[in-house]
Amino acid sequence: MKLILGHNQFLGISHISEKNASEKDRMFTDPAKILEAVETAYDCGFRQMIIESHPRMKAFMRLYEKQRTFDMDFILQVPFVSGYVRHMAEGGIKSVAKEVISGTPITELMKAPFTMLPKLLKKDYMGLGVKGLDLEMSKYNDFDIIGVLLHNVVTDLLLSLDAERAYAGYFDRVQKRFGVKAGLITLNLPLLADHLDGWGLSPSMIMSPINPYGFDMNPSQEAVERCVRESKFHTLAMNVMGGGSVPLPEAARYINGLGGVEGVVIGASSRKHLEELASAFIK
Amino acid sequence: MGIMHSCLFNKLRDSELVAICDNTPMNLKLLHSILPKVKLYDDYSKLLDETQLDLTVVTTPVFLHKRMAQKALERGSSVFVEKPLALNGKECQELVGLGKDKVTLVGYCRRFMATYNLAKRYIDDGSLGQIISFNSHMFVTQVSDQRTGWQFDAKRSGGGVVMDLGSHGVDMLQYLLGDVVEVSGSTEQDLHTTVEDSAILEFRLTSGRTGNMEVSWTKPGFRLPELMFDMTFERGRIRVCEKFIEITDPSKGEKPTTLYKQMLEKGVQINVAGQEYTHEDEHIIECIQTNSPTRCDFVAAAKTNYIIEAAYRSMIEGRTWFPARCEP
Repeated sequence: MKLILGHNQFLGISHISEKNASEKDRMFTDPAKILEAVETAYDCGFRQMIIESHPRMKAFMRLYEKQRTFDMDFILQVPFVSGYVRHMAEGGIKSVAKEVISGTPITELMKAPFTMLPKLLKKDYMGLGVKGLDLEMSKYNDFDIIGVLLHNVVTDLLLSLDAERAYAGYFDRVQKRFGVKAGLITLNLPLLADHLDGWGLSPSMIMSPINPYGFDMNPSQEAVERCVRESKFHTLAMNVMGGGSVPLPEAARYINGLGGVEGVVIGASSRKHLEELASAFIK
Repeated sequence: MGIMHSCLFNKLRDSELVAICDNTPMNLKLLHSILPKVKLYDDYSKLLDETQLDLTVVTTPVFLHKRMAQKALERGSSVFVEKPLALNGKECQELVGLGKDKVTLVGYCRRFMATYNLAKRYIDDGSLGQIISFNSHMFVTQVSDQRTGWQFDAKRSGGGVVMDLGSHGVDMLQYLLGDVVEVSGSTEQDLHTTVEDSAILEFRLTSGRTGNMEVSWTKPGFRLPELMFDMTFERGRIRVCEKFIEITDPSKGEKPTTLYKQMLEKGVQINVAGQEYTHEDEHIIECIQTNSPTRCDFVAAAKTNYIIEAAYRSMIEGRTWFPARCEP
């Protein structure tokens, strides 16, 4: 079983409470603190990590590249949904545009009008979306990214719209332009797997909640379990401890006994917790 | 919210998305490329005139709610309006009258969250006794400087944070603890001169018991909104928010029992942006099919508007006010 370090704990995201989220947020404002925790995870046996395209994670990546005391493989989660939603609410579309542009390499920004305008004129909105993805990913050009995961809000919105072409465009772009694995995050694993099968599309990996409580396993825990066992896709489990509400031994017993799960994505920052996770999941 | 509900109604059982109205040409073109079978309009009147609908969903800024919901009701459609129902009590009263024989729902989505519904079951079964008092808050870190836009223009939004976020709190208060008969409020305009950025509201319930609610959209440390109710009963206490419920029931032990939403929520047909929205949309489909009242119809939602209106009057006049009565 692959153990992949998640990023929620570094970004002030908690499924338990906003108080907990706020404490974590304050704890990791300094990228050096994130680097320290990630290096500890590496010592404990973690070899991959998911990072959101969030300014804080980019600052961490710069520091990691500068010091490079260990070798972790990174999977980039796009787009920066929570940031864009916040910018939209706070300052509208101008604020979102500012956020998209911020940190984008100047060479990509100079190309943008020439690549995006024709798509806008041709009303090729799918193409425009793919170009937006390019801009976001270009912020990470300098780093060793082995794969990309599309945020579940986008994956599931596209799923509900049966947007086959959008998925195909995304897989094609990520694999051809960036030469890395293209994956999806979803809260609706069986429905997504069913549609992808029907469309003949095959992502490099699918990440979805899998835990003993059945939390966020839609349409039902049984359906997700069946899909994981029978699916041909590479499945990564997230929310395995329900954000801390499921005891680790119970979560590990469940995941290890399920069959079909290739990797577990889980967040932790203390050595003790990271060691416990490694001993529970790494075989 | 419009995109999300469109996605859900496009995929849910017993539902077919047939038409969308949006006043942004780029959005319409994008929608056309994804949903070629769905009729698209830039004029809601034309949509309602040309299309026979079982359900109309209104997810516009609040100043447009009344005219759109009214037209849909007049065309015989059931109506789902995002919260709050309308700009003021007068508009609500007109909608209540028009919607009295129709299936109506207002999008106070927390009524569809597992933690609050467990709290409601505990309260309704009476095992903890009657309410003694409550403290509550609705906080989010959302506004950090002076803004323009309809949300910050009281004529188009109906008010500031009390109308926007606070309406969720006032609705939940009634859902859990019943009608409010008196309200008073004080407010701070930390950033804006046009609308309030934070407020403290005090309520008296039908039972005579009192409690308060603090509301702010500038509070640091709340990445997501948190609506917390801390309620003391004759024989116990409940603390509940979106993510957990903590129940202290001395008959079952001194220590509180904490249940997280992860332990309470089960799967839904499709989850796009939170289970509560799927539950909400499934609920109105079922209510239309069975012609039964919804969990938060126009009458229930209008009461929230009346309480908020009374709170605003209290803020201006510096004394307690009595919410208007909702007459269907």
